[in-house]
Amino acid sequence: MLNRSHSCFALFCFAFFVAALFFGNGGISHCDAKESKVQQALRSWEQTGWPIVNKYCIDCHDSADGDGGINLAAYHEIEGMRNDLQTVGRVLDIVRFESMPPEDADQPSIEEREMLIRSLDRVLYAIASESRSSGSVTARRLNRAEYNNTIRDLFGFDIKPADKFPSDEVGGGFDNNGDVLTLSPLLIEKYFDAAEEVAARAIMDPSSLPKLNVDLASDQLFVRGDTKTGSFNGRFLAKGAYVWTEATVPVDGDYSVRLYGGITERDSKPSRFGLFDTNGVLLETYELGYFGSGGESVNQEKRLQLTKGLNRFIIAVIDSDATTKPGETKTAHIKDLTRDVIEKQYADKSKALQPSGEFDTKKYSNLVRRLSIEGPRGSRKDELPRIQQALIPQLPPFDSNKKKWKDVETFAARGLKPFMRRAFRGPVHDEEVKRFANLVRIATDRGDSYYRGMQIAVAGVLMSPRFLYRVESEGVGSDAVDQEKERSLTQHQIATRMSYFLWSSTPDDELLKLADENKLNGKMLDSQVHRMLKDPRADSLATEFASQWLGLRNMRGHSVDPSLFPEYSDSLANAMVEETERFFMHMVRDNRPVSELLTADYTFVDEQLAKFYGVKANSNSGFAKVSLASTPRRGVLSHASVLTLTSNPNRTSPVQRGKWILENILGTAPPEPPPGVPELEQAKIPDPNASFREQLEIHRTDPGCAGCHRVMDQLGFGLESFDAVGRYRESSQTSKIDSSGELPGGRHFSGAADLAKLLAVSERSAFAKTVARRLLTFALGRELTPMDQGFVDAIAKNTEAKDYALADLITEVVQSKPFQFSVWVEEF
Amino acid sequence: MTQPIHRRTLLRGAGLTLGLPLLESMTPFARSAFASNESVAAAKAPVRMAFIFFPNGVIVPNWKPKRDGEDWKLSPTLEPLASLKSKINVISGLAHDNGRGYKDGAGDHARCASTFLTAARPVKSSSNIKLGVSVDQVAARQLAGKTALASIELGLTDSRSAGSCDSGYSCAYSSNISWRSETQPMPKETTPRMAFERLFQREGNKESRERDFYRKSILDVVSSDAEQMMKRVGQADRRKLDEYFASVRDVETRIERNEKADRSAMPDLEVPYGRVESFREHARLMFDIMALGFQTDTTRIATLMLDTAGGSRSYKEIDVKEGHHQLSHHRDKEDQVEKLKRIDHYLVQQYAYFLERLNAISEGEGTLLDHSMILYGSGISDGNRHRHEDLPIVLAGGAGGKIQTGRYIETKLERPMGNLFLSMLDHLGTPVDSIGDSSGRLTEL
Repeated sequence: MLNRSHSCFALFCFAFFVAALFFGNGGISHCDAKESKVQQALRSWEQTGWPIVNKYCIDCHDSADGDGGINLAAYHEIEGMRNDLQTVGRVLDIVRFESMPPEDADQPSIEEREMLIRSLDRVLYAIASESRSSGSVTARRLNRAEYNNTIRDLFGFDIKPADKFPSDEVGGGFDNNGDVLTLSPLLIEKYFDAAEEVAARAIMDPSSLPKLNVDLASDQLFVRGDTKTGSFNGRFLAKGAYVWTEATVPVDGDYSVRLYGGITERDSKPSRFGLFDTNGVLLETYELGYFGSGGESVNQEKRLQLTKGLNRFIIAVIDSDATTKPGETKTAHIKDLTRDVIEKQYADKSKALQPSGEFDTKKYSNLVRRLSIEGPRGSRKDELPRIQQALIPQLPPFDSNKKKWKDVETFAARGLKPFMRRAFRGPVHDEEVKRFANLVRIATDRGDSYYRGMQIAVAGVLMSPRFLYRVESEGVGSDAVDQEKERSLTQHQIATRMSYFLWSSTPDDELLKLADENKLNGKMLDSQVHRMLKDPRADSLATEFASQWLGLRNMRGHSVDPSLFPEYSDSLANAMVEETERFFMHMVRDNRPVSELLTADYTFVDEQLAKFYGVKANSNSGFAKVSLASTPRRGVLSHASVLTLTSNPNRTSPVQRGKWILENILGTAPPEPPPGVPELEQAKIPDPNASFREQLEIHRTDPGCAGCHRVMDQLGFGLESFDAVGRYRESSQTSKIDSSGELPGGRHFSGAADLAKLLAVSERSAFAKTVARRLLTFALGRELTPMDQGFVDAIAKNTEAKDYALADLITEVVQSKPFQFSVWVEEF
Repeated sequence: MTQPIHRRTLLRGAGLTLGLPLLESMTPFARSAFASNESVAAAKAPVRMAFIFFPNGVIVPNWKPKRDGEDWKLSPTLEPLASLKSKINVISGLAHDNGRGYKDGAGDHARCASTFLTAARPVKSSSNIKLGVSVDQVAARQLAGKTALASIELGLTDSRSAGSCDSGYSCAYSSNISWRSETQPMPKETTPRMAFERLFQREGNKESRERDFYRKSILDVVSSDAEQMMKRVGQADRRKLDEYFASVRDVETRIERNEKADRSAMPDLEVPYGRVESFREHARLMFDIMALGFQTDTTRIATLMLDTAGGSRSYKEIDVKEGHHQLSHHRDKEDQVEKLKRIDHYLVQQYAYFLERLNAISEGEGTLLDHSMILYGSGISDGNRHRHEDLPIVLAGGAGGKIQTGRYIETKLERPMGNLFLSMLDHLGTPVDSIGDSSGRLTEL
């Protein structure tokens, strides 16, 4: 990289050179000593590139009004290119793609074309690397998936609050691109809603935990058998009668259960009352003596373990000679207490109890007056959110006279600091922590609890730009920019890049610790990548990376004509996407060569997809690996997901399928059609009812279209044996399927599997570079520039020996310079 | 003494979609007029403005009205507007030159949406997005503070979320028509419930007051956080933090307004939770919500995208199974053209529903529609060939008597659409000198 003085020098030379060009005297006299990259590139352009353009292209593209609005005459001078690098890039694509010159014009030789490509590439690279701030990645706001995962990993609960956010914009093919991820007032409000929801889940005031404190008095005590109601509504039971009642217990725990009642005869032996649970099993026995008189009673308290939910209790007197054991003894009354009985008695509940008047208290000798339940008792720490212990390791002292918490900020800071380090993905200063701790005091000063205060502080942390954005230029303020040209990221920034690349989530403790210790480099990076890929969190590489790279996300909202494809449903579409995602993750975790993505004779299906493909499922619950050896399907090109998303609702589209392969597999996006050309230009189609392949053949007779379509359509034809939802077919409604084709260089193929194999062999390195390029784009969260091409090539090259295995490619991306460095060059 | 009728008693359970007429005495203007017992004119209703976008153009011959001497006849596509003919203007001849490819090449659908309200040329990029401020936001900026919400942006489809959406243009271009700044699209709310809550949620109860108090405290802390960061970050990141700042300030202002706002006008209406699958249902709910927002003067500016540019919805309910975009390249095949006509007509029906709704709400001497400007259109005329001139535009409502309606206005071809925007902004009382490639006012209006 150039230092400041060097680049000034280069600039000067360059300006001189432009002036020289302009005045038409190619001399470069005194700058010869140290020729800049741009100069070298320009010299080669003058000698090799420009003459070819002049010979083959200028006829049509000679001015601003030239064909397609492309003025190549301007490319004689560097300013012409500098002014519009994007168009230069497009021209390069078109040349590389051999779609220009049109077939009916003079064609350059293969050598000439290659020379032109090399020369133009060099100019583009040189200009790009001289001018803009390269490398630097704009601060990235967390996107929806990243927000959800980050919350999950910070707090330990997965509530996906970001599902309520508006969808993120896509840049460079992915929705994690800092340049397009914008922030609106709407989003700030949604962030607030989310932050408050999360904080409320993370911290609970123990006094707000659900409790049970009920008094089940006579009107809630149902009776069966021979009973009387006393003048104070007590329930008097003759032999064989019993009482039942219900209570809803909020949480498993230890409850105080007190039974009020007694016997009517002052001198008799106390009775044993059994309390039985919903299943009629004895919970505990109570011994109650003479109840007194009138509305009095005696009572006994027992501590009982109750389980959450509706508890139905039976209270019955146990024979004095019976032996009982709580947890074992069962009451026979449970058979009497049928659903009908319960419902009937419940229905009668609203009727006021009527005292029975005079009755024989010797016969009705046992009284049940009420049952009170209170609890749970004891520590309820287990019921609090797990994260709460970390956020509130200790409560500040509470002055019960003044009803005030003391030392709030000090205690709050203690809990917030480690949390903020994790939330902000790196070290935090005490000053910063103090600002958030102060929020807690604001709350307690208002008379809110310390818990409520901590909720506010946690919500505050989640609203901070340091949480919402991943900023990498901190410390590179405007003053520093001039001196620093190249700068590696901090250890914590590398940890953060790694975790958002591989997990779409926040770095875990291990990564942060390694960063603290300055150990995230060299071999340690490799072993961390391997550790991280094994982790289930790495599934985000499928759901975030692969699903966008391969366009799987477009399956949502893809329409299919239900009259033609009645078996297509949302659940089938979801299964299709999951197949490809699981397949991709298998490749990553097993470190398979990228070419296997195209050729694999196995896949992952669930029952419905197995049925759809006509293979035998290996599992009847969820996805499992199956062999495709006996089917015409091979690799991702035969996945129903890919085949469906590249089709129209009612028919296949070889053009879209071809384009998909070009973009996503071969990495050569076809240049765009000339302006104003609809998908199939009507004037060129004499018979609108010609078969689709015929139509395509016709429009390819137009030399302007043929350039791109000869390759694109051929690729698409290869997949014609799969219909618009990816079912195998031998013929369409109108004709027999012809799925043969030919690629440049006389590469014949017949059918999808053959095409996949051909691509996997002859386009192996192009495919590896595409994968490297997409991975790097996703990892960096920015669009790649011409400057990055060298790094992409190197990533591929370093993995060539082992057949470009996927995990190796990922490791190389992490080790690459654009990933490890952020380069700060002042904007030109 | 006229008491405002409690909506709670009136509408509970009725649901929005029943089309129960909203009574005059419910609107804040009417109410203040009655209460003060002054002339109705004293409570002059403000002008409201809405834009409704549809993708993929139209079948032009079926769209264009027929002139008949002084008079004119609605076209078959516009037939659903028959009962409102005296309250609309059909405008032809306007163009978005910035929608054309020139050296930017393909991507007409991305440009269709992005030029629609900005009249500006989008920078062709999938990540470094740059366009211009849209007409609704020009107005919203000037009206900020007058209503609880300066504007509301609605849509029926989420942004597409994979790849660049159209020939190298960021999806931001094809999925947004409202742009707050050159680089910042206003994301759309697509769930009716969320849109409703955004407009009407805040009631002045204790809980929300407490929440707002803490939100403000948090905003204080995080803005000082951002300020600290600003000093230490690079140029591009400073821009991002600026965005954060602006949004935070906006929310702060809103909270402050809320503290004062008169919440008695809170409509209590049933809007379902979650997504609404049926297109017609979904569109109508959104229109109902816009009408309510206007009626209660919660906002005066609204935009709605019936679909994303280049959208491929298949309108099965009118028996069209193919995707809209796919069909729009019809190559004059009769059956395809026929289906497109059906779609065009169907979409106009939804627009008509909205206008009828506004027209049923009395306000002062006229109706809410009379006090509005409701534009319906697309940034493409002929979808088959991606034409950006002679755009299909209907402008309904008289802007409170400032626009004479019931006309078919045939402007000279190639008049910039931006000129219409300038005139609309004049009528709204939020004039500016230019927008996008505008070249003056649309005097015909």
